[in-house]
Amino acid sequence: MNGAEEQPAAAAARASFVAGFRATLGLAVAGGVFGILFGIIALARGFEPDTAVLMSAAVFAGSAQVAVLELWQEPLPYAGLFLAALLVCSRHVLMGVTLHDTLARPGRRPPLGRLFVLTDANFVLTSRKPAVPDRLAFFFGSGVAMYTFWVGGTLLGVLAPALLDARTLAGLGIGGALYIAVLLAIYFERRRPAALLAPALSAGVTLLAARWVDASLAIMAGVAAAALAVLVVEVARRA
Amino acid sequence: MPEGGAALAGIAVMALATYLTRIAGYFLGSRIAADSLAARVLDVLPGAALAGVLALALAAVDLADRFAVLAAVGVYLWRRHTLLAIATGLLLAVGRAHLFA
Repeated sequence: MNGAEEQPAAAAARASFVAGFRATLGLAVAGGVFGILFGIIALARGFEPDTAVLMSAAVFAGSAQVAVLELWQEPLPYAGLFLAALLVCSRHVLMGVTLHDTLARPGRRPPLGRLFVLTDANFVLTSRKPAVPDRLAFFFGSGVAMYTFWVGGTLLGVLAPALLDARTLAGLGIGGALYIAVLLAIYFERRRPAALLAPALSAGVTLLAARWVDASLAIMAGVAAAALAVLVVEVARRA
Repeated sequence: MPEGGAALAGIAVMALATYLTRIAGYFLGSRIAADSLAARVLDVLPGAALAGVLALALAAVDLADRFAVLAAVGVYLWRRHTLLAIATGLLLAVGRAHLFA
């Protein structure tokens, strides 16, 4: 690419990055609230403030970080930490598969650095194929918004744990469910009603499986049931 | 409580695991044809996983909090404004915690 072509491409990337950042602000607020709660809970469990903030900055996966709080004891079970994080974040693998065609640029290297900010939020917003000139930059801007609020929220939680009283904290505990519910509304709003059947099946099987296995495995059981149902329908349709 | 090198190693292990989940799908996606049966099935799975996460989150809260979530989704579908929807749900949940706890 020569200099004259680089300038419009860079401007398009900047505009797309800003569009992604802006589009994510509402969801990032929920992420920030979750970050504050994580910081406060981690501190209450005996974490050093800098350890909690470093974990948020390096791992950037709220549900995995909360899941390993129980395991965070001397001596640290490294294999357990690895497996727990892998299990809880396994839905990222499915999101990466779906996003590949949207993010890939022919002839260019995989965006390994920018994939660090893959979250539920920028997956959902980018998979709607926003009308921006550079969807990879949009994805990155969206992820940077989530990262900024998540790490900022954790920092606020560990620096000012008394900032919020117990009742406010109890109310804010709904933040995670709110975040996922609004994400799902965004994800499915332009799809046919029939597209809701697989997630409804997954939710039902997850709830049922959660009676016997832990949350991560229950979600996998739900996803497997949805996959099987879609496979059967697709095979019948193509026969 | 783990500190120093042990804590850093624990964080590094978790960071590696989560990063692997973030890049693995991208590489798998490059090997799957867009119009294949596998692609069609895989396309619905992220939504199914999010639905499972939401189901468990809603099962863990009481009826009033479920109403706050429902109100937030309603506001989103009505105004198509994410921040307004999230703020509505949080205000309802926090207000209820202060007034009725």
